[in-house]
Amino acid sequence: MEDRSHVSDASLVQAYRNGDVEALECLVLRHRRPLFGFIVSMVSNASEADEVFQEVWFRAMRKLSRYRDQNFKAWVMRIAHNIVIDRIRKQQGVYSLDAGWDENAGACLGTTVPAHGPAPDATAEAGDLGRRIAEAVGALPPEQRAVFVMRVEQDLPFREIARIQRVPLNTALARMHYAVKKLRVVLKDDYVAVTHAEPAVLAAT
Amino acid sequence: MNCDRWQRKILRAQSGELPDSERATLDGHVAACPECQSFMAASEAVTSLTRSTLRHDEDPGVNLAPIRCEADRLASSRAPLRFARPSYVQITAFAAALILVAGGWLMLSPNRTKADPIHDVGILMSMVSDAHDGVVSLPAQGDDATRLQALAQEILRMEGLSADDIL
Repeated sequence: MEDRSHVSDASLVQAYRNGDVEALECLVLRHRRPLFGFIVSMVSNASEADEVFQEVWFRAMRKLSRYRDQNFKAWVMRIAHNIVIDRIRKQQGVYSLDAGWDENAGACLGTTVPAHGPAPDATAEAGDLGRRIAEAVGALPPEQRAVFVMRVEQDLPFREIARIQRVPLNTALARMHYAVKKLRVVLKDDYVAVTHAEPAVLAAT
Repeated sequence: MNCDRWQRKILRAQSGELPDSERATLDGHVAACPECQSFMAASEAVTSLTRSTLRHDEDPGVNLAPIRCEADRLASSRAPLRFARPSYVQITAFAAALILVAGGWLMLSPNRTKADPIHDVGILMSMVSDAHDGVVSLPAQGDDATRLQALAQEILRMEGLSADDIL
């Protein structure tokens, strides 16, 4: 495959529309890290993430004829977002994502499925911390989790996140606000231990 | 005090999206508000903790084969669409021709906008007859020209005039 690292997303899309299948492969490889990172943070395990990743591109292929956006990454992220949210909502028929933090309270997706993302072993330095964070993030309601993941892991600005979720900017901000407020309670001991934040200030949480 | 609005501004500031014009106001509030100071510190800490432990920077090693296979399948299924395109052109051309024929027929139709003259003369005669309590005698049959001439003569007669007076 020729080096197309300098070719814009829009040109690759056009090339694919003209029948150049390799152009699509370039797009897949170019966007695989952020896209897969988002998916693996949203679904329950790596094999499901693989499945969703394929589904995202299958859907993208079918919709490319109607693609008009300037920002291809945001466009494909929106497809991924819609697919994972749909899946999570279907799973909610079985598990409750908002069942609360009491492990004795019953089924809660964040505590009953394996932690997503890298296996805890892969984050050896973090150890249990990685698992706790993954569980805490996994227990957020899906829309809040999506905003949190896109902001924290993908470094996307809120304006872009709002476009992906097709919500007003204030809604995206509110979701992040709720997510941070929940996570600060769950992870308070952890971040007090690992950051240089002023203890007196953190204690006020 | 409800600081939700300020705390959302803090999030925007941390993502670099807060306009400079609002930054000074936010800084002023945070300096005086322990709750927002606490939220700001917690937000930074949670973000940094999550990034350091969960960030997925490794290459996911994506399996391209199914995507390539689907792309090839879609590419091959597009070919018949290209051959099918002329049929859309033919449909459009047929529709345009139909519109032209229908439009031409409407424009050239002999009764397109012409009012029914017999009907109009009949109304006119009825009006004159009614205005004179039906005492005028107007022809009920004959062609339009004859009936109009008879009507004109009747009006002149009722006014005590003759055709010579107005010619």
